[in-house]
Amino acid sequence: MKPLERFLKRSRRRALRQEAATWVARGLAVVGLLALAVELVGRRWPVDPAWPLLTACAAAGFIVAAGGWMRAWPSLPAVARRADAALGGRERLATALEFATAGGLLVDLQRADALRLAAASDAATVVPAQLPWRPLAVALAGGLLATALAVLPNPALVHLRQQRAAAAAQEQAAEKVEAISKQIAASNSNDPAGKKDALTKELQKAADSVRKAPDAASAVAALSQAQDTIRSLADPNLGARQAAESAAGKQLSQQSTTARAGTALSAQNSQQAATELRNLASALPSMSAADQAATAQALAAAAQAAQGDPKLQQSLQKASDALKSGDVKGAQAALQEAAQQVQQTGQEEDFQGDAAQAVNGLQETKGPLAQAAQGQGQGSEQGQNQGQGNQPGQGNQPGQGNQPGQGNQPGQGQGGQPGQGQGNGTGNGQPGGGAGGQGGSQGGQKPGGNPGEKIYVPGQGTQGSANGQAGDPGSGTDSGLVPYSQYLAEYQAQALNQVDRQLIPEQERELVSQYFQDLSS
Amino acid sequence: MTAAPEPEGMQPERFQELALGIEAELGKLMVGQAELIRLVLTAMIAGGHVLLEGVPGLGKTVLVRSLGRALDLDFSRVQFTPDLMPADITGTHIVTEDEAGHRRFEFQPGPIFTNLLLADEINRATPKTQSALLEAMQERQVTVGDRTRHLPDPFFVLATQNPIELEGTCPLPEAQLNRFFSTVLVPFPGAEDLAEIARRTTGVSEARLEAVASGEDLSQMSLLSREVPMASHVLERAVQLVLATHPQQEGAPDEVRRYVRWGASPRGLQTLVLGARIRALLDGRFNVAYEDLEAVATPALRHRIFLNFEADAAGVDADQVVAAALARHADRR
Repeated sequence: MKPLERFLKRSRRRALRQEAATWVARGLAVVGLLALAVELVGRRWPVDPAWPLLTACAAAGFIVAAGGWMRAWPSLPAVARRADAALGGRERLATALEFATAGGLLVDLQRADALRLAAASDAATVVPAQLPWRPLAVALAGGLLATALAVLPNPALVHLRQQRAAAAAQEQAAEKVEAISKQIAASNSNDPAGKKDALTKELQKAADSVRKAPDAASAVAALSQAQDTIRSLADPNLGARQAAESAAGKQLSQQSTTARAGTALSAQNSQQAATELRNLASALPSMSAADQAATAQALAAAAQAAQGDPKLQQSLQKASDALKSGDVKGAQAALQEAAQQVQQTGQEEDFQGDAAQAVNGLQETKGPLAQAAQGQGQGSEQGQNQGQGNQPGQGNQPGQGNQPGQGNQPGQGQGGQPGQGQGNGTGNGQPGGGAGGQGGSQGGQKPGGNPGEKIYVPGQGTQGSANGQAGDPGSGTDSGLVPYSQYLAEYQAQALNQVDRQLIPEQERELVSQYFQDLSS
Repeated sequence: MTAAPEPEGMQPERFQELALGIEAELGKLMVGQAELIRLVLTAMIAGGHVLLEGVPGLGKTVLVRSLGRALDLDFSRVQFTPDLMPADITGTHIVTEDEAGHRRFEFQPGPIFTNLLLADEINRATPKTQSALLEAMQERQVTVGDRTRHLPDPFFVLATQNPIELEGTCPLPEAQLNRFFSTVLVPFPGAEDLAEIARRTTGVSEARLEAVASGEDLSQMSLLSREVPMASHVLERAVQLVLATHPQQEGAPDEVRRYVRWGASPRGLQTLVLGARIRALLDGRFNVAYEDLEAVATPALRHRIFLNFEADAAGVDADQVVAAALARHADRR
């Protein structure tokens, strides 16, 4: 029976190879169909990343192929039946295999008959080689379709990624806002009337709102609201008070007895000015009558100049009047009040610095959030909107001349003054991402100079030009100009407030924010 | 596997030689009925009885008579009629007088005491007379009065039925049908065969048959055929085929479920397996193949499948049911 068994084993090896090819093809078909299903389902319910699922598909295909091949492992009797069917053996081989150990005349004759058939046959006839075309075609079709779907853009997947990016941006923004809050709380600036606590609480509240916002646009809105709230905490009359103190200081600096206080006031050094005013109050009893009269006159002139700060004006006038009437103690008390007013102005300046830092920090934070919100908008609208790029550019805003605009038409900059670019242009950018025209491409040069260089912007000019007095000796410039740092925060607040209130592309808002950040740095 | 006892005195070559010789002798008179001859010979080698169905004049009687001559067997013919009595077949006691003048009952054997009994038009006799054959066919013995007598060995019954003239007939009961090894239809010959029949039977010379085998040869052939190895999956197929004729079985085809009242009995399986073994040897093979089962399935099962009224109404016969069962298992092969 050895020849018969050898023949059957040869046939079985061929059958196993054939089954392996068949099951590999079926496994590939399973992989292709599952991958296609994953891609199709992913169009509705996206999964990112998809490679674990695709790996699972491959594993499923492998299991099907291996399991099917193992289950299809044929026994020798099964091979014998298959050989009988293929060779027309009329059950000779299967019968001979089953009765291999039996004896008897007919059994022996039957065995010999089967051996003759086996010897004259080829295993290739039993198991002819053939490619499993059908499963291969299914695998190929499934694989091609799945690949095509994987290559083609998947709006649902893009939307999912944008949502994740927005969530990450919200978290980062919240952390950044919390960092700003901690930084302000840790600063040793003065806290007038608990404003600093209100500021940090507002920042913490903004951080929570950003974190809990349903989308990036809502987070941006929450930050804008926080900016408005923070701006409302600032004293809107600070500028006038500072101007009044400066003007009063200039008057006082013309009298020798009040020159030190005047100099400190005109230099906007509130702390020093308060100290000098207190020193002046202490020195009053020891002054001669002439000096007291001159001091009273200087105080009266200063009071006259400090119209922008009624309290300070009242205190200075009160001190002048008391000194003129010989009431030194009354004059001392009035000067103490004036020192208190100057000190409060200084504290308000400190607070406004913190507020400006917070507002700027929030504005910076809004940038990534706005981009995330823009991405979400693109994902959700999907071409339904033409985007802001078709809207007329916001050319009236201060341009950023060195930044390339995204409009199709170059802006028409009106760069009469440094940093006063006037841009007029029409944006035609990508859907949802279009920006305004190339505002102020010529005139919008950044006014900032070298680091450390003091840059001046046109001031209100009312004081300097009206009085026609000499400029600040310390700066050596025209008295009609004031350091831009005094107005920068106000300018920045007003500009950011404007761009927040109007329908302005976020990139343009960023340009404005960046502009002031560069100035302040 | 246990070693089977080797049959004595009969080799496969001799088996084929005898079978071919018998077929050749019968073919001298039976023109164009090779398959009929082979089926009848198969049944006789198996020791079974055959029910021949065919219209008159197709040579049924000639076949049986020729078998008797070719096998050197005693031959009797009984024409079954409605007034035929059991004693007319089995024999009876008659009063005889010896030389001394004493009268006594003496058993007069009937025509059943022969090797080859032709029961012509068996369905024309009454059930009582038909049932007289029951014991003889199954037990190879008859009981008359209080004494049982064995029939000659071998004993074969070849009964005939006319399928077209059924008025006044008594259909054989299921129990008696089941005792026939096979039911063989005698087909009407084709044009060439008819011409050959005319030439052979209307000329001057008449074919003369010679005895080429004996009853003992048939017994030896029967023993040898039972040694033919049959693989388990082939046997399983035979079992499934019989089960498929039962409407309550899960694997039964629709035709069986719809038209069959009762399927083939275990005796049908025995017939199937034995007939397939003989068929394999007749074909010169030493193992049973699927096609052997298919060749003997219809003659072995058609009279063992009992159809319902719906089959009668639809004109469905047992052959169609067996063909459906065969087709079902051919698909599963």
